[in-house]
Amino acid sequence: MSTGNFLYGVAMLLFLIGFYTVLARPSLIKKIIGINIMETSVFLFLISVGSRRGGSAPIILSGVKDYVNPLPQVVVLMAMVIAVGTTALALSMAVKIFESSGAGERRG
Amino acid sequence: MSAPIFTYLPVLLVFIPIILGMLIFLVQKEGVRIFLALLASLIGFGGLSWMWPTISKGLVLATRPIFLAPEIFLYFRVDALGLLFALVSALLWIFTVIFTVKYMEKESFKGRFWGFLTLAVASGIGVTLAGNLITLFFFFEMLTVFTYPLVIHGETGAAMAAGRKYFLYLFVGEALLLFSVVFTIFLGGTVFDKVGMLPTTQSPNLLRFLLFTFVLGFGVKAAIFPLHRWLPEAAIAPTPVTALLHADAVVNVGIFGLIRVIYNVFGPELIQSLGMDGLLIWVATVTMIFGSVIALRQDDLKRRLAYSTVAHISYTLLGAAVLSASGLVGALIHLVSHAFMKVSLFFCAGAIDRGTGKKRVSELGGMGYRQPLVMVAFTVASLGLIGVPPTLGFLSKWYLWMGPLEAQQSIFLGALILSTLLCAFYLLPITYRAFFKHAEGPVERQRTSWFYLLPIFVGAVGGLLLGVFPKPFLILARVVSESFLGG
Amino acid sequence: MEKHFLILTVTVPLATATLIPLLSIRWERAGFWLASLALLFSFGSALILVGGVLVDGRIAYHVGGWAPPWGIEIFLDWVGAFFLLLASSLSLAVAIFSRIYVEQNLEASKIPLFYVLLLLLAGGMIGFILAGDIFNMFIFFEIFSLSSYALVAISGGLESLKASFRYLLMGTISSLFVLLGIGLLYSLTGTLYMPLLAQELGVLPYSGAIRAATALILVAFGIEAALFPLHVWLPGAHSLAPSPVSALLSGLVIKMGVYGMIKVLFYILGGRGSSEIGALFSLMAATAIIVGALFALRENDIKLIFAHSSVSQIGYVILGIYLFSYFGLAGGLLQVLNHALAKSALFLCAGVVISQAGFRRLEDLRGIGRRMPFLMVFFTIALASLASLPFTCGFASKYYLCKGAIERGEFWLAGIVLLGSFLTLLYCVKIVNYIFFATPAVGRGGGERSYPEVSPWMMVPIGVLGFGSLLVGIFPGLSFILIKPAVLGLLGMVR
Repeated sequence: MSTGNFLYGVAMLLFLIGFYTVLARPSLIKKIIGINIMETSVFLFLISVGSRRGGSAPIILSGVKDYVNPLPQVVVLMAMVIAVGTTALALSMAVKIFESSGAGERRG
Repeated sequence: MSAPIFTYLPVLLVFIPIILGMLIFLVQKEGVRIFLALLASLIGFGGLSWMWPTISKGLVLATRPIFLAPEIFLYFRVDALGLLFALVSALLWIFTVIFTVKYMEKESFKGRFWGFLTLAVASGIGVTLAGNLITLFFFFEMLTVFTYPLVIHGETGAAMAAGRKYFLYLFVGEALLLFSVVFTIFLGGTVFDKVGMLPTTQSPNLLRFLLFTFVLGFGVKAAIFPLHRWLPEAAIAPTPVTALLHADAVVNVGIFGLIRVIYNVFGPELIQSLGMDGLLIWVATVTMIFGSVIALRQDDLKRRLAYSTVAHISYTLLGAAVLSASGLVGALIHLVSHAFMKVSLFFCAGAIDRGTGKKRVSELGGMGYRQPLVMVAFTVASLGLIGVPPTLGFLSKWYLWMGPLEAQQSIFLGALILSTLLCAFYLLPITYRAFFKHAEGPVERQRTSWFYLLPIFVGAVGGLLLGVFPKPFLILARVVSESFLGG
Repeated sequence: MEKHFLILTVTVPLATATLIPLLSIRWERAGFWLASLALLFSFGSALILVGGVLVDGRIAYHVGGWAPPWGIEIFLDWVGAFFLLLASSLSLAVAIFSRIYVEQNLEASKIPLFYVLLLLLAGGMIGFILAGDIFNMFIFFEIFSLSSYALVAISGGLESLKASFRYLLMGTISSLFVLLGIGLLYSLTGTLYMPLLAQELGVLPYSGAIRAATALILVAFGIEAALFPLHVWLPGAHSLAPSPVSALLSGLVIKMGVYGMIKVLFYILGGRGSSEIGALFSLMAATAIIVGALFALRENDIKLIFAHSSVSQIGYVILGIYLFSYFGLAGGLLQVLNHALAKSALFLCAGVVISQAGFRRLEDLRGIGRRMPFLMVFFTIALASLASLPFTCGFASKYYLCKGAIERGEFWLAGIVLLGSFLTLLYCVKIVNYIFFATPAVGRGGGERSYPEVSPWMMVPIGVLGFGSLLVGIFPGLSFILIKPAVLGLLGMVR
């Protein structure tokens, strides 16, 4: 099994784990964690799409022939920013929900 | 058919009353409202009578298509069939307005009532003047929408229940109708400019299915059995509204649509080759007998009259469905006669209700003494509906009986005769009771307002006079049958 | 020249959003005025842009002067122009309406925040419409999604927080699906720029990977468009959000899901696989039409009725798109217009009623038509349009959908369209019965309830929407100036 396919497999597995967590776990925090797992898996997938065995960072240097594709990395960078934003919003909402419904109830 | 004469008059005839009807909502003074409503009806009737000489020569008036969107256009085309129905509506509309002035005097929300009444009849006339399926459908649905507030005008629980039933029946019908309309347009026909617009090459089963949905769609409004249930329920509405439902617009428009479908959309030949004329005739016959039998058993006067409408409207369907010239003439004349008589009968029922509070047939003893003029008119109108000479009803039945004979389907002649007998059985006892039975309790003579008597007598005597001088409508009916069945 | 407005119409709202918190420190009404001005600018430039599209057909702007495939392109064509006009005009109307509404219903400290989010939402949607490559679509998708989650929750009530959280979860899953789909498409073709992507995909065989990417993105946009059965977040979020927000969410945001689907189906796939996708999605849309309407019929809370009704109405749009024919697409786009105008007018009216009179149950609305006649006339116009009565835009759209279904020989879909509009009519009449044909509700004091005057700031946007609805209702042909070339353009992309 090549590295690429292995990485894809791991990404899919992570995605499904995250998806399951979001759907099946009643706890808000766990749902947010699930979302994060899903996000990470997608990032992994995108990075592995652009990766090249033995490729170096896409900066022109003498003696380097293979570069990895820079575009997926940019995409992931942007997506990570968004992911952080989403998580922050979700967490603040979770906090608000805990405050309004009392600490005892932690279910959405 | 000759090319239509170009005019925008039909657009004005429909939209001026509609605009006047909308203005009524903004007016606070009752006098101004009545003026506007009467003005609308007079404009309608005046314009339509002005067209009569042209149309009765067999010519056709039409506007240009007014496109609203691709494939959706308004187009008005006045032919003899449309004018006949429109004239009946417009003429009775004037007298409905006069009756309403007194009848609704003490009711609340009169502005709303006048507004929707005007809008409803104007949309009814819009249906009859429509020149393509989309225009017909537009006004057909607007008629249903504008009549709904009239049916539930009382806002009581019973009125709302009747309104719900009205609504459910009619809008299911209209959904089916829209399907049929879209389907017909898909098959390539929309304008009523020839007999039979559908291509005969389509698969017969598809066409049968289309006819079926059309009959269901229009049949709900024409109250054919078993889709008639909303009509008797709606008798709870104020009397002018029942007149609107039974004679001015609603039911007439339903039967009008069926005639358009039979002759303009399908055409007699296609109907015959599909073998669907028999089905239509049977539906009409069953409705006729059924309506009459149920009417016999009703004690509530307005409900008895409502079931009578169910029966009589299907005379028209029967006459149209036998696909013979006299049948069609009889059908149309019967529609006119029925409209006049039924308006008169309902107005009588309304006047009795307002004068004495009696609503049931069994309570009508001595009514001939209390409201003699009303009961005389009631009797005349009953005789007209039964078809005693020399009323218009006799003439129409004469033609109607000829229809099945021409088409050699004498079993339906038997049904017509049976239904006429039943009609006598459910109408004449009312007269008998009113004049020859004593009332329970004290009885005093009442003066009936002229606002009641004028419309009542116009209906009853008008039917009588038209029987002697049937020319205005008979010519139109002949033109219709010539254009559809080739003389 | 007008192509510079392409970038300005996106950046001005987004940049103004960052200014509002600063200026609000000194100037109390900064939020409202800045937001309105920015959206007015967007609306004006949208008009200029639509004018440009009418002349040229497609205008593009290369950010930083770099042409694709290296640079980023934003462009506007007929379909985009149609959505852009809707988005910019509706956001402006909602911003103006909000002035009084938020002062009455939100804490003063949250008002600037509200306008920031509103601008981000509007700017995000406009950017989403204009984006020329799928990754920028994703970015703008996230911008407007995140701001709409926050807007739903802005009142801070527990119920709305929970609804918003559910919306956030569904929305995030949807955006991750989109990202995954984008990754797959990128790995197949090596580009994100849509025309190139379509070109590259066109030469590849229709493999499982393309199918998977399509499925992921379509399902994701299906969540955003609240397509049954992915609509579970919608009723809560739309009914518990502040009314102007509900108007935007129902009127526009769910349409963005539809727009995304159009982009994927036509711009990227070029109509490939339309038969299998069409069969599945039209089945879902048909279910949505019926189930949404049935739920709406059962509800008693006016905003919940409208929310469920949105599920049903969006079903029509999606059904039209998946018919893949001229009349289907025209009907679908017309339904977008119809629903956007009617539903936002309805939510704004509901907002007035809830804000001025303080109730939202149908029983409480009894006889309100006699107290607020003008408001309720607009309300009824919008309801009639929803119920597709003659001389409304709804009629034209249902007609075309029906025609499209019959053309394809799918009579049952035509039946569903008509059954759905019958059910819609039923709940509309139920509402009208309460509003106009019932004895007025009795207030606490025993007398009739009194209703405060409605501010012109609220009436004018509702009136404009109502008249707009009436105008395109009587002359649906007007909207065909944009819809006809849009649909022909889309069908031209089908290979």
